[in-house]
Amino acid sequence: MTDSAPFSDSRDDLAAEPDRPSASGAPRWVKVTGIVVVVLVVLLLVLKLAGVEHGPGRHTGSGGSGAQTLAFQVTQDGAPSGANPGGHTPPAGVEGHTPSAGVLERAAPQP
Amino acid sequence: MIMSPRVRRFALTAHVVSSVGWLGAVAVALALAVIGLTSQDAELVRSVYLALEQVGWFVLVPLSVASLLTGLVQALGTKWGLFRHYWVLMKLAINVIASVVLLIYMQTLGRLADVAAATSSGADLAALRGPSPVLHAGAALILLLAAATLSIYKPPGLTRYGWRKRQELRTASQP
Repeated sequence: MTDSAPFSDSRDDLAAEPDRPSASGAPRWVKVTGIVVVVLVVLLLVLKLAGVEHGPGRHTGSGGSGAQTLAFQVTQDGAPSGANPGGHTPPAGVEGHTPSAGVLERAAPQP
Repeated sequence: MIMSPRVRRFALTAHVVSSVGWLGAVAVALALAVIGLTSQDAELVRSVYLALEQVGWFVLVPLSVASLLTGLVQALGTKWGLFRHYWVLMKLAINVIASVVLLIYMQTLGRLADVAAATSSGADLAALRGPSPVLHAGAALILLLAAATLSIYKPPGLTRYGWRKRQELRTASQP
């Protein structure tokens, strides 16, 4: 094993590369990969349009009922009886906060 | 600039270690995410979401950045180049996309960790569970396995830019 060819199968000499691009453009494996990627992107878009949240939006305040609801649910678990998890309406001034801010505010010890 | 064989070997070692390390860390994150989704132990679920954020910031993000940077050095410092071969180009795309999505998703992991930290023991964490961390870690694992496979097999295929550069080199080397 020499310095110029540390790995016998690394194809460092690029000898296997064609002299010119094929008439049809990119190799088949590139085209197949491209088609798979396009299909996946379309699938994700369809899921998003169908209202299935999967990413950070699920956990942002603007994302709706994701973690904002969760924050109130979780903190209400320790609240006195009579709390209504899932049916809580945030008090004025809390709306629009990010879930983490809501959590931090509501995580403060309650009397 | 083409690196000397000694430097190239060092750079290759750094790239392989950071990339494979990233792959392993994503596998650990996937295992944690599955536990967080399926475990009935509330304390364990809470710990999982707290741990995921730490694993993200202290392992996943540094390794992803290291993999990207060492990959750039490896491509630009050898005759493979960055835009000459489809497999290199595809690996670059995978690395950039996975790193960007990871950085964005760290906000979500941070919020999940906030929620987990704000709960007291025994709290109902059913709402904390979600398939999102499993889906993201699973997708990342598939992408990184694809990148590793590309590195090993190096499927042939020159881009138009690569073909042009090769022609230029050949022309320049002819007397």
